[in-house]
Amino acid sequence: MSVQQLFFVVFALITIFSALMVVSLRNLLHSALWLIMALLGVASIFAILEASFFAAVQILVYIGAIAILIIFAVMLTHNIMSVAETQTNRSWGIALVMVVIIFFIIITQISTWPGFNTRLQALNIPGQDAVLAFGTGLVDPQGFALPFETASVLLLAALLGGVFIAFDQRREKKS
Amino acid sequence: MLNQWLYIGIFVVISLALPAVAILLARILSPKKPNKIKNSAYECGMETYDKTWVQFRIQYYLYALVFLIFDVETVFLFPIAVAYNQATLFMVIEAIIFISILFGGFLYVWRKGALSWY
Repeated sequence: MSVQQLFFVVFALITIFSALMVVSLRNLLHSALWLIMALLGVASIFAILEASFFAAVQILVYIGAIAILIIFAVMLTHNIMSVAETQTNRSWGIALVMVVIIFFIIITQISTWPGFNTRLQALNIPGQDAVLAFGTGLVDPQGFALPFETASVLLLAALLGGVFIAFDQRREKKS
Repeated sequence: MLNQWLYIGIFVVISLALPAVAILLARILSPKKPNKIKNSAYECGMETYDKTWVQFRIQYYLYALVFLIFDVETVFLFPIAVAYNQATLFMVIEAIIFISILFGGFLYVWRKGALSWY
């Protein structure tokens, strides 16, 4: 096992453990903090895959912004620690069996795809040039200019929608 | 390629180890003579009597939402800034359109008063 594989196994285990903690802890705030750890594990896997830009974006957007958003959302809720509620219910065994079956079905289906066993190939362009190519491709009219502008409209819709819903709630609370 | 991440990994290990060593050393070395006053939550002031978890203002959430949107905008603008020397006028105008669409959203939020604290 090479060093790279060792790193991958370590970071994958960290990610899976953190993800399990997110869904199994009772305190919502602790779940949110473990979610940051899981996202950090995903960022490290991006780094192992030599996608430096996406690792940085993962940290900047997911850990920097979305985790903050989730923590603020938790802070807005009233009862975060209800001890009476359990994280599992009676049918968790059936759910586990179903998940394992579905997992194996998906794996067998994907493995029939011819590209499944191809080895990963490293990009020939070094880090700085990859970002450069991404930047020119993003605003290139033959490239991704239209999706780029559409992304801004999507972000605008998210901003307006979120503020519209949240602000109306605040007005109801005041009246 | 992995080498440049190795430095970050070393820094992560150091940054985790330093506070861990400090906390562990304090736990090992410090004498433990607890009494009632030392164990109280505040040295002076009243004990809390109800649930300490209060509902925060919606403004925190709105600020985080606006921050998230403009964080994503920064992520989109960063590669364009890197490629600025290769950019034509069309590309720059396109980036300006991108910014101005989101700035319109920012103006809407501002005018609606969602960013004010009262």
